[in-house]
Amino acid sequence: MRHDLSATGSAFGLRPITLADARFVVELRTGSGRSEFLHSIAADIPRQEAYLARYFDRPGDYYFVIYRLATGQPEGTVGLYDVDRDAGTAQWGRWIVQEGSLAALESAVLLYELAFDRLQLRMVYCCTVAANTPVVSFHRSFGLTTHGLLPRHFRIGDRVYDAVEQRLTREQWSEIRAGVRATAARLAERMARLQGSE
Amino acid sequence: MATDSLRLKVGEIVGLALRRPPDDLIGLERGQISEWDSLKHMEIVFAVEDSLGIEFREEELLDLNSIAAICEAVERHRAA
Repeated sequence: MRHDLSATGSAFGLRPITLADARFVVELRTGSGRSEFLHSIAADIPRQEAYLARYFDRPGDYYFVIYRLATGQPEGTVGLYDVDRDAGTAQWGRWIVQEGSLAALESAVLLYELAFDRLQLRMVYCCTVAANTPVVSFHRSFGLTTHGLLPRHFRIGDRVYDAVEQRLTREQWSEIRAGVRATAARLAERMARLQGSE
Repeated sequence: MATDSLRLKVGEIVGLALRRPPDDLIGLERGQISEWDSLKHMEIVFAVEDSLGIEFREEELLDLNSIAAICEAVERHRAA
């Protein structure tokens, strides 16, 4: 949906996606090295614009572009959707960062800040293809709890995949936030210092 | 060629971060080790830097994908 939520961290920020980002999304999701676990998308710009136009009208759906603060250049996307304000829950996904980008950690931190601190949600969950072990492991390392296996949850192309549902509660977030923020800040400090020395 | 002591030290750091015996990780690449995700990667990089007193460049960070690769990068920094 159209929204005005945004967040800035130490090196990266999240801003609402716009129609003008359609080309970036297509390049991001169809570029070389993309995961086999990505859902296929409207793979040309007009169709991606049409997808975004439908997204703008969909309530409870916050879609963001991850960008580098120093340059404004987009480096990925992430979304918070199926927001249930009564239950205080939402799912997050559409999380893709460019190959070689260092945005993964801070974009996740910012997403949780928006979910828990701004939207005041109680719990955020994500469903990841079980075979996508780097992402399942990332969420576990971050502090999410594995809630269960969802058999045959995803159909991607002509293949069916099990999914792992992982959850983070507001209480868990309050326990881990300082640690993950510190790691993201240290990485950002490094990036800034090296950019300054170039 | 990395020294045995450097390999042992880096193996110890990586093993501690991934909660795996270092010997299990020798010869493996990051893509072969499910626990070596992008968050653990940064923890490993910072732990190596703190322990060995070096600082990797941004463009090196994502190439430090095995104990051997980390050792080679450390050796390059020491030689520079």
